Amino acid sequence: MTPVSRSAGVYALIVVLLLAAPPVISFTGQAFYLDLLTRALILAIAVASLNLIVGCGGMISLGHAAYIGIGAYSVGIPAYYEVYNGFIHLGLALACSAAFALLTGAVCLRTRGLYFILITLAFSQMLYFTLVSIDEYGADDGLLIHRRSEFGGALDLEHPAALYYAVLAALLLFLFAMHRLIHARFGRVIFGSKHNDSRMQALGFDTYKYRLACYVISGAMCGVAGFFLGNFTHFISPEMMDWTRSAELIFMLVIGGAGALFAPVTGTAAFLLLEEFLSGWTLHWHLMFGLLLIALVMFAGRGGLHGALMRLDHRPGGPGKR
Amino acid sequence: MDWHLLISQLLNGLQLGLLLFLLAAGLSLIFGIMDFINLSHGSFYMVGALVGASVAALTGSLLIAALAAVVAVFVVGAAVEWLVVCRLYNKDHLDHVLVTYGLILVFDSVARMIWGPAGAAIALPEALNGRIEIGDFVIPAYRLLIIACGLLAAAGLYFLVTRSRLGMLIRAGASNRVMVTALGVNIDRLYRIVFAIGAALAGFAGILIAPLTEAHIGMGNEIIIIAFVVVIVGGIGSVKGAFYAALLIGFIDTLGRSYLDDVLKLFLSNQSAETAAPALSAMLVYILMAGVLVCKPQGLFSAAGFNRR
Amino acid sequence: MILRVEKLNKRFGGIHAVRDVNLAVEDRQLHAIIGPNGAGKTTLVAQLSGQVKPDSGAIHFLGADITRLSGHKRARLGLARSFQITSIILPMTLLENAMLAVQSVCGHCFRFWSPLAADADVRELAMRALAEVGLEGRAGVVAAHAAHGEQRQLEVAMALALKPKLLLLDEPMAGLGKEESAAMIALLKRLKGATTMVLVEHDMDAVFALADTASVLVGGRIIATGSIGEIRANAEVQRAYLGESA
Repeated sequence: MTPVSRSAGVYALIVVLLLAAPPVISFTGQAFYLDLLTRALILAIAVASLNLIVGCGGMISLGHAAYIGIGAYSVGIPAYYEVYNGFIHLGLALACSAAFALLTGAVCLRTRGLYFILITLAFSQMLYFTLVSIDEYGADDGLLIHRRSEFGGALDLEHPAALYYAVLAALLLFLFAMHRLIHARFGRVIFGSKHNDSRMQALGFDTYKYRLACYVISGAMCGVAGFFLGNFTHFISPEMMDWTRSAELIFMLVIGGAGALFAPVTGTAAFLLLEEFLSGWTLHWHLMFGLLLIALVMFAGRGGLHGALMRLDHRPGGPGKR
Repeated sequence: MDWHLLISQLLNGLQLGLLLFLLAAGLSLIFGIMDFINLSHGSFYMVGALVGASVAALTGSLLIAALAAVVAVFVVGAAVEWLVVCRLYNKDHLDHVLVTYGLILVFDSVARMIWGPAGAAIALPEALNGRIEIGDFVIPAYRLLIIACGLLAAAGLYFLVTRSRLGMLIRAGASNRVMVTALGVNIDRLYRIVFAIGAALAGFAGILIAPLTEAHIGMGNEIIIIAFVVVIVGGIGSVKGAFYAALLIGFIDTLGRSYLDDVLKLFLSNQSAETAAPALSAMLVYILMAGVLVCKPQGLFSAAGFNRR
Repeated sequence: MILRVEKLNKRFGGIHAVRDVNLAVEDRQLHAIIGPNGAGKTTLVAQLSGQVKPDSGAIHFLGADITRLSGHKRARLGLARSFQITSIILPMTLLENAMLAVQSVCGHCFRFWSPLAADADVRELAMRALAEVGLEGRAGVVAAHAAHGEQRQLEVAMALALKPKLLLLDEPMAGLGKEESAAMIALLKRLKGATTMVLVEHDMDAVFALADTASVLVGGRIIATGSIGEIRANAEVQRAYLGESA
């Protein structure tokens, strides 16, 4: 299962580059790129959480942006009441997104396939429209966050490099935890249930419970991404959890290669770079983006960037990992 | 109680319900027969509105505009099925989501290139711009027309599905896909026709609403979510289920928005009722959906269960 | 008596798939359920294992009423099954498949941190289950790449790893070649006596070679039940079933 190979080398190199990025960027004086990277890493956390349910568990959620929103509002709403304690923000983000995942997951996971996709979508839109209708918290326009979460003297998120490293640390921690989780007993049950749920039930597993737990873990993890995104943008709005955001998260995951541990990082980076490049190139970049997406699915086959890397590892015709 | 307000809200609910039905009927059939999820179904709604607006501006006739819109969207729907969608039926659901999301981007940008970012408006002819007075009730004439057209389309679809050979195949397909293949039917053509009919219905809904809301880019992307809820509540593949669920949701949504604060005032203080009502009314439809899913995971009228007398 | 089924009924719309079925399976016996295609065997198995809930009737397992129990709870009680259409986790190796079954028996699986692959006990038990069906040499092969016969054997190994009180085998010979069938029959012969089994099977040679008792299902009804010798001699069975296949 663990390929120690060229692809692992590429991923290790990426981690080293990410660790070295802030000093390099500050040396070149292009602060914009640190912003872009921070944003990419925050989204990578969200995509990683999506990877846990889509890639490992086969639960295709089209409402994952809701958890980004919950995490961000967990920063924005306390800040609106002038509560800036980061531990409270983070605690709220984890607790609220886990609770929302538990409640909606309990309903969604009674169904499968297209039903599941639509119901996750509907629940995220429910949250979206609810926040749109609350004038107190800015409705459509959202709220500005004047100060970032405060963690005493330990960590000053106002400093761009500090925020960057906090995000990177969280991402690497999550990726490591996920690596442990998917190879532990719990992860094996989730993986088995993705590929053959009725067999898992016949083996005596109450797969509903395992899948729900997995869904809640994923939601809470995505809430952390929202916590960072609120802090990063100094702003919250319902638009963060619009369903097109959720679709973008899936897109990023698929570019990276759903199921592969490191796919969220490469997929998110590729997506944002593509967005930057196309929007600088043509006014109608959404058209290019859409066509590219369609072509990718219809002609490129599965595996994404990870799949391409794996082909580096294996000679043509050799047994590749799917 | 203000009876005038109630009646006008009931008519609004009926209007929303019928529009939702036009959107959801096609979605539900495509869903039930092809096991395909089309996130870009709302784009047909938008294309119908935009094409209709342009034709109306050219000819000055709303009737010609409506006909042109329906035909245009039927053709666009068939083309999309032929070019893209028919290659996806055997693929993973994840692929459906990605490709049809890509289609939304394509439709929205192409529409922006043709019609500009502002979209297009349709002026109502004099005759439809007026109000109709029944006793002391005053009803905008165009709303009545929307309702009449919606009901007509629903009746038409009902006859198509229950009385025609095509309808028999559609019903059979929604309850048992294998059987239709076994009947020796040209399945590719059936799928294309069903997809195009679904698109045309959505386009019809778009041109119906355009004189009230104007035709704008992305107009389909919000209402389509509620149409999905209708499909889930009504039961996949069931036109009848889509009809009842659409009306139910149309009424609940409209009445919730206007009366929920009054209801809440029975239990809460005035101020908290007024704060909670908008948020809660935004959630009502989804709470209904969750409730239906807990009690009947297959929806109220699932086609698979429905056809087993 | 391990399994007792009373007056089981199931209708699908107009089709009465299972009518008033009674069954009794004694400890350490191999009871076969035979019948032509469309006799309701699949529906009966689905009801015994919990995928389909009966309209009426009762299923007692080890003295407890399990009629309304979900499939995974029945498995926990010791009712293991194999599937007619091979049902394994294809991307996993044979060993990983067997380890899943083992971890189901040894306690809860809400363990998020320690890798399963490093768990020597689970691995040992899984290897033993594979050895029981003669797959120990193929442990590292990805299930999708294993031969069809091996996949069927893996099914049995996974069911055995659950240490079942009753093994429900749904057409284990389905799709097997002559040699593979013979190997499967030999395997089941080895298991016989140690494990109680219900064998749903089409292949009459296999049934006569293995079963102690049998029931004949035709049109959703049990038309005969008894020792394998009685079934072979029963005229009604000959007419309804054996005649057409001979």
